[in-house]
Amino acid sequence: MAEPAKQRVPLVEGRLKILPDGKAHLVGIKCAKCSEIVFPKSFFCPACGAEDVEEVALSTRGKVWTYTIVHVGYGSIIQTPPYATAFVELEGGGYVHTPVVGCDPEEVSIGMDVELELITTEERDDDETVVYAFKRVST
Amino acid sequence: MSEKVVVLGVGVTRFEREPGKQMDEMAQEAVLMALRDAGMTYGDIEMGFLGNVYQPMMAPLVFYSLAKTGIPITRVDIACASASRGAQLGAYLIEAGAVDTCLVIGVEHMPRGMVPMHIDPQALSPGHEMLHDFMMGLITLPGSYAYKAVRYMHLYGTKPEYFAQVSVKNHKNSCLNPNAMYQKGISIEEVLNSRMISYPLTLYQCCANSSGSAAVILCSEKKARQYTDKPVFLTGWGAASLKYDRHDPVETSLSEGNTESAARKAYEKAGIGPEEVDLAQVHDAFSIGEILQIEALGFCPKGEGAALTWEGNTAIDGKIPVNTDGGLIGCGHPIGASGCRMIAEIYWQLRGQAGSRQVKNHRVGLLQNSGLGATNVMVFQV
Repeated sequence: MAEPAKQRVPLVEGRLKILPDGKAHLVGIKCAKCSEIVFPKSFFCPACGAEDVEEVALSTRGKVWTYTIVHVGYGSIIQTPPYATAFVELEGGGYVHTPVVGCDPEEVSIGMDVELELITTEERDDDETVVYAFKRVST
Repeated sequence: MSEKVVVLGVGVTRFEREPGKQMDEMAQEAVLMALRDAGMTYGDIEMGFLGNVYQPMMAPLVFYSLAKTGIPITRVDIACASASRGAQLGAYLIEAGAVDTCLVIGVEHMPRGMVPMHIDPQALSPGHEMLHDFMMGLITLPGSYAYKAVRYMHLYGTKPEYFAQVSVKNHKNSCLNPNAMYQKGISIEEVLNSRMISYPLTLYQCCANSSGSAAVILCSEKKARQYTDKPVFLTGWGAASLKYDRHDPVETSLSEGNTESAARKAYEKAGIGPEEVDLAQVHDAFSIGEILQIEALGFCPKGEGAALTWEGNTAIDGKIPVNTDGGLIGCGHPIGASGCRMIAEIYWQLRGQAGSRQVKNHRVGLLQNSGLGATNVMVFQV
């Protein structure tokens, strides 16, 4: 009998939501006053300063808005240099600052379609810790 | 009736990796030079600001080592913009008539390699950008500028050589500056072939950590008249920090970013526009930084800063000389001190004392100094 998939637990609270059915999405805020969508969650709306912001589910897909390839850094818990990182513009709103995985860093380009990917950083008997990244959408 | 603000004296030590001196000694050296330049004694100083990022409690540690004269002293830390922020704060107080003199010291001692970014985990919640994104390898200073460079190349088709030209120019200029860390010119090829740090920024397109000190004495015009008949005036200044822009997550300044905002305030206060600026010291922490800043300051339209640089217009003999002393790239960057180094170079240029670095027209000088959390712009005139 196949083992049920382990419960996945985000490394930090407030950015990544994993639903009971295993689907995952990032969470940002939407301003109730001016409708701005922002990631990660902001205490006040950075566009208009309002306090009335609501948590909102963000799209799992987007395009690379800009990127770099880090050769010298402070270390990453999921990658060794050289690795690509990017600002991804999500469908429907919000930008995510994220590692890019699943392809050669030299292959990353502005406008590239990417989607949310979860990466396990620690496994335990009953559950595992995950972080988010974005990977090139396979065609 | 508000007082006018004068830069009365400056002092800058040699910036180098291993100065063989501690921070208090470097600060004393810079302060002595500034006091001699101004014709003042330490007893004439009524207020002190110290730009320093890494050493807690540095204000009393340094000012008391000069002498305990009872004046109000404050350490200013706004990262790389600390010293110029200290100067702005002093200027406001002189303008308001609260004090007649203010000594602004910038000093830093820095290790080699990547700029230290230790954040005490007790300081921030785990989801805070600086902890989470840092762990994910997303936070590096070269990376933050590299994003801007990649976006710039995408928008304007800029060749990497154009970015490298900033480093070539600033190393050429630093050879004319005995205080600068780098005393050797470099070529475009050497810049582009140096170690890749964060694509497309190579090692020589990144400023180096350095240790050193720079000091500036600000004075009310009424008191300055006792010391000089050719005052250098600080006529305008403005400051800003990052402003959210839904179209620009990496602050490439596509719309009014923090430099435009700070510059607008400084130009308005000084009563001038960018076309009147004769020379500028700007924040070239990375090559793309200088290019974006000269655009944001209004010296050329957006997207034309790279070509303006490539064609030699920002050289010492160019239309709008930028970073005549070598800038951060040529001088090195002791974080707390760079703002005062910039003020000193403008002061020397405006007084015609810049020697082999002297620019032809020198009536209006502009400073733009950024840091994590700040952009400062200051206008100086004779």
